[in-house]
Amino acid sequence: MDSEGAFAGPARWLLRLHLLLALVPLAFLAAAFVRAADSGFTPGPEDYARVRYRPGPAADSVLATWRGRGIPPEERVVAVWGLADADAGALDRDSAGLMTALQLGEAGARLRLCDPRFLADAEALVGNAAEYFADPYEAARGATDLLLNSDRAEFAAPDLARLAAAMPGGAVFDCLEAWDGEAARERGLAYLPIGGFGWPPWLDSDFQAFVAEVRAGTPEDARILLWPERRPVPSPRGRWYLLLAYELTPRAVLLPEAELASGTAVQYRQWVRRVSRRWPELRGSLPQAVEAARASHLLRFVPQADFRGQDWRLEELPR
Amino acid sequence: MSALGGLVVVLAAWLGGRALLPRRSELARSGWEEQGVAYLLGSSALVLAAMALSWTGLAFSGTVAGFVLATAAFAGGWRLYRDRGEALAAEVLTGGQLGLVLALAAGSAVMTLAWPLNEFDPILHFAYKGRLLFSEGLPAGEAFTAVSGDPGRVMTHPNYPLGVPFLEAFAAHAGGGWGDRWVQAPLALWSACLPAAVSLGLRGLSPAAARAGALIAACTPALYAREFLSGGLADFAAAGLGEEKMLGGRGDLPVMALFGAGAALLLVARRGGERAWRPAALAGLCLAGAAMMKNEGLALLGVLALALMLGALLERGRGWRPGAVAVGVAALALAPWLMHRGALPAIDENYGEQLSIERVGHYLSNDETADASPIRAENYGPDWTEASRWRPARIGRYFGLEFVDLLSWGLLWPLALLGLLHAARRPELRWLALLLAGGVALYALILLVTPWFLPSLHKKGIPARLLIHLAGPAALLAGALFAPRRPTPDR
Repeated sequence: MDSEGAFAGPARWLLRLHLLLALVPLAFLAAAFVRAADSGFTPGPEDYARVRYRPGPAADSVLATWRGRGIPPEERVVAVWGLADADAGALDRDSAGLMTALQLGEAGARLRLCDPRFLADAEALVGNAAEYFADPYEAARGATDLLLNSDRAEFAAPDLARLAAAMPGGAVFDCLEAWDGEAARERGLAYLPIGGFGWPPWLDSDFQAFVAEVRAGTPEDARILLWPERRPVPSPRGRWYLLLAYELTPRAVLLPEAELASGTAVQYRQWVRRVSRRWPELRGSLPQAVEAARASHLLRFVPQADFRGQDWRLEELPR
Repeated sequence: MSALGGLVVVLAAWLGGRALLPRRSELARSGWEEQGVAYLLGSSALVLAAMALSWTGLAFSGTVAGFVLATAAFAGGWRLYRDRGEALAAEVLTGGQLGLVLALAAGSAVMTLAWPLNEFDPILHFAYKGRLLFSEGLPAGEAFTAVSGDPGRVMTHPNYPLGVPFLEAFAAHAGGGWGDRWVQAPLALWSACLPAAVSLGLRGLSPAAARAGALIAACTPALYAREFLSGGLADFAAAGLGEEKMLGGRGDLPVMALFGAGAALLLVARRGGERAWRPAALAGLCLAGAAMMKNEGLALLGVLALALMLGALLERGRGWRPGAVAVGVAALALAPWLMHRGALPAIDENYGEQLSIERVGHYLSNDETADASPIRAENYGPDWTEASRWRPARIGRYFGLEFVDLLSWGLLWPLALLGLLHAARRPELRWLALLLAGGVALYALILLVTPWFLPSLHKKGIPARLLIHLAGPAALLAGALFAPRRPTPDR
């Protein structure tokens, strides 16, 4: 390849190196094609890592849940099961479980830490700011909340009856989506998966089943008013209404204060705050909203980061 | 919906673009260059025609879509018949080079279609509007305007341009229904077409320049994926599933391809003598198409107009006509969209309002706060906790990191930098240098005033997803490095 002038030499070399780097997109295209073929060219949740566990957002989520229920962190006693990843060789302050726990501790919660692998290390790092237990059920005794951070066998398949007896009515924050939530709820525990799902929300099988149900149960010219039955959650994953609007097209999907709800992540948080503030007034304004929306159907829902069919209830409105 | 619908739109776009191209004797091009540029012109024309018809109040029904597609196909078929005896120019690429470029082109098309729509932005910012256009047909209808009601209709970015949605809706109409995989067919060729447009643009400088420019464009990794392998070999296992993929239903690659084609055709026009108005008008069509794909396309059109004006001034008034024709045609073609857009609600980042002297001054003299962070700012790690919170410093760092990110850009930016220096000595290329520098400056300015939290934007691939829009001008400048020196031709 010829080039003239002062830049000729460097340009030729740079071009050769640039051409060599074509291997990167070629490798990407080949790998991505094989990956897609392996999944039958249709993605599913199993194609993604199970969860994206990030300590900061996990702690934020726990704190937001308490705040939303008007509970000060100082009144919480948190049993922490697992301080580091299942295959971690050592514990430090950046270990996911410990980092999450420490953020809750900083907010005022009392910590009861359990991880048989790292008890001494944890004590050295945290000192008097927590209590330490080798037995998970001892750690849970008297706790108001349980934070599950490790899918080691002793934590991933717990004796739920024993746990429910140790912390009756307690809340379980599952950062790893490791448990059967329904089984935990049947034992009277408030099960709250907060791990950050690994797969995109539109691949959620419950969501897809619900979409099929609504499509079958509504005409294409339906005007569906979505009506939250509880204050919304700040998790961006809670914006199921956006995906419903897409999947249910051409049906019209309407929502109170849709402008904020459709905006950026920051605007979504403003929407959450505004709807929460307006909550008493909003609850009483359903008839007016139905009329303003000229709604043919009402879709009541309990805002959640996790999509569960039972949280959504479709009603046909009298014409 | 079957693959056939997508294929019909691709064919109609290509034929429509072929009808718009001047005779081969007027605009010399190889077969590969012709097909690539024809597709870009045709897809631009389809989108602009659909927007213009919708603006008159005609619903974008199957009949209207079919009429537009049939007209494009008929016009192209007639041109093919009329030009059947005309010879093509020689290919500038050798057999091996053409093989590499075609392998990347085919790979990009296949990977676009390998997954159905599977990302947040392509689904909600673009395909949702496409689905509404397909089912309701009216961009001025309640679905597009009632987000402000209470209760209102849910829609993200209601004032985003409708280029991608129209192309998807064309495919759905042609295929007899909406399908998340095949509506992407008209969006599968952007990365394949840019190198052809760059080659055509540089052909007039020299075959070596055209060859280098085409190869530089085609081999730039960001046309397909960014930061692939930055996580090591583990990236192979999740290839195509994450944010690294650039291909698919987003608006960035169409802006890149159409803006690049616009710049390339302008380069041709400015060297073309008396018949230059036609490539210039076609450049205008591509530039209008870019503005129909994302709002950034419109902003870049403004930068281009400014660069052309300054370039003409630096050349003492020479070469202004092609630029004026291109910008004029683009403005005319965009008029329906711009008038329509004025009636749409702007609910989030409205950069027209953000770009005020007060706001620029605020960020030049104050640190960024974490008020707009969607999560606890500390979760952005050292990017927030250890880096400077003064936005200009952060922006400079982000751009600097991009320019040396070999896994995303190869050596495109170092080559483009040399091209900038080289263009300073070539009067006929100065406007192109101004365009590239102005484009980067524009994006730096946008990031300076953005209402988003800057580390959160960075995490989502900004500024890479903005810089990709400038890949065409960058490759043109880099390719021009390989042209032999010669006096500037008189006009």
